[in-house]
Amino acid sequence: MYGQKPNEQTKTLPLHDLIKNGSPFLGNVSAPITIIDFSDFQCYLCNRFVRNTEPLINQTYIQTGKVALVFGHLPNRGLDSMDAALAAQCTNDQGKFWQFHNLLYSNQKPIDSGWVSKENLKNFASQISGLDIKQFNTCFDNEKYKSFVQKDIDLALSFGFRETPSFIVENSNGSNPEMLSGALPFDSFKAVVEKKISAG
Amino acid sequence: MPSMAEKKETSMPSSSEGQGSLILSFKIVFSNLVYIIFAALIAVAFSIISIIFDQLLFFYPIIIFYLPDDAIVGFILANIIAILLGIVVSMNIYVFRHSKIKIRSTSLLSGSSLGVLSSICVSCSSLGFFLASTLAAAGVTASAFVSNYQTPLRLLSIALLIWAYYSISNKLTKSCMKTYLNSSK
Repeated sequence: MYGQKPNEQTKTLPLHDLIKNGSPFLGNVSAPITIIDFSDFQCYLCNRFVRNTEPLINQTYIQTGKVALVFGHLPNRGLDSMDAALAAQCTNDQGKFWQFHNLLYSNQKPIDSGWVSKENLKNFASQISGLDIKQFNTCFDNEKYKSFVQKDIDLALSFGFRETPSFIVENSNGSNPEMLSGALPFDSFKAVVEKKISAG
Repeated sequence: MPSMAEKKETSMPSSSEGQGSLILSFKIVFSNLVYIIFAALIAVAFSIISIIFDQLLFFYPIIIFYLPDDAIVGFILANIIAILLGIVVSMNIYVFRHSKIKIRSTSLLSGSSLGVLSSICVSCSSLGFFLASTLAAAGVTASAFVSNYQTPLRLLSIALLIWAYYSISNKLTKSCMKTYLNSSK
């Protein structure tokens, strides 16, 4: 599946609701377009997207207030992926999600090689300045966001996403969603975003 | 008692003879334009399939080829596999069609067929997600293995295809030798 309109039964996802529910996001809450990125921290194609495409989206559309980027968890690459997602969501409690996100991707190693073991995730968290590690450990050890991450997985599956990264590009009120799959280059996103901007 | 010619046929080739047979068999097959076209078609088809699975070619929302830094090594290896695959499959077909000696099915299986299968399996590495969703934990482990060892698996594929090329070259030159010996009796 490389891109299609979701079926009519698929729920729309207004940016306001996603933020209210606790999904990490980058950008302005009043941005007219939302990109929801379903990713796994162990996925090398997600890393390709983070290194090559996301900076250009950030520079061109997020910094200019045209797009808000929301992170959705789809931890299906390996057995340790769920722990990485739970840890990342715990850092979001303290507004440190994107630092943790970047730290994990910049230190990515082979899938299930132990690089995102529980112990290593705590070590990564301890490297983030300003993060209350006690609060993080409590959140992580209690698997506070297990049901939250599971809801993200269910949501991704309801859109038919099986691979990471997968994306929904929609108007911020949740209308006109368009689904994209794969570590697409910037020009692919540009085509969809410009079309939505010009459509108003 | 075996004749001198038969003795020559069964003796081990020297390294220069081996190299000669590799070049000779290549020249025999690809002097025919049909086999060049066939090899090119296989190589191009396999190369396109590889770049789609490796997420270097997208058809939606725009058609775009994209080669980021982390994909360069994989792209080069996939294209080497594609070219070798085209050569080996074409040579196999040539031998099937022209050889007067029977090729044992086991030698084919251990030669080019294995190379073809291993190459296709490498391309499947990007489909790990489907394995994961259908085979649960075992699928996750299998897909993680293929994903983690993508480059070594591709190198293994290249080694198998080179071996397959060597194997089919020997078959081809031995076949020519036998035909030559039979005709000269």
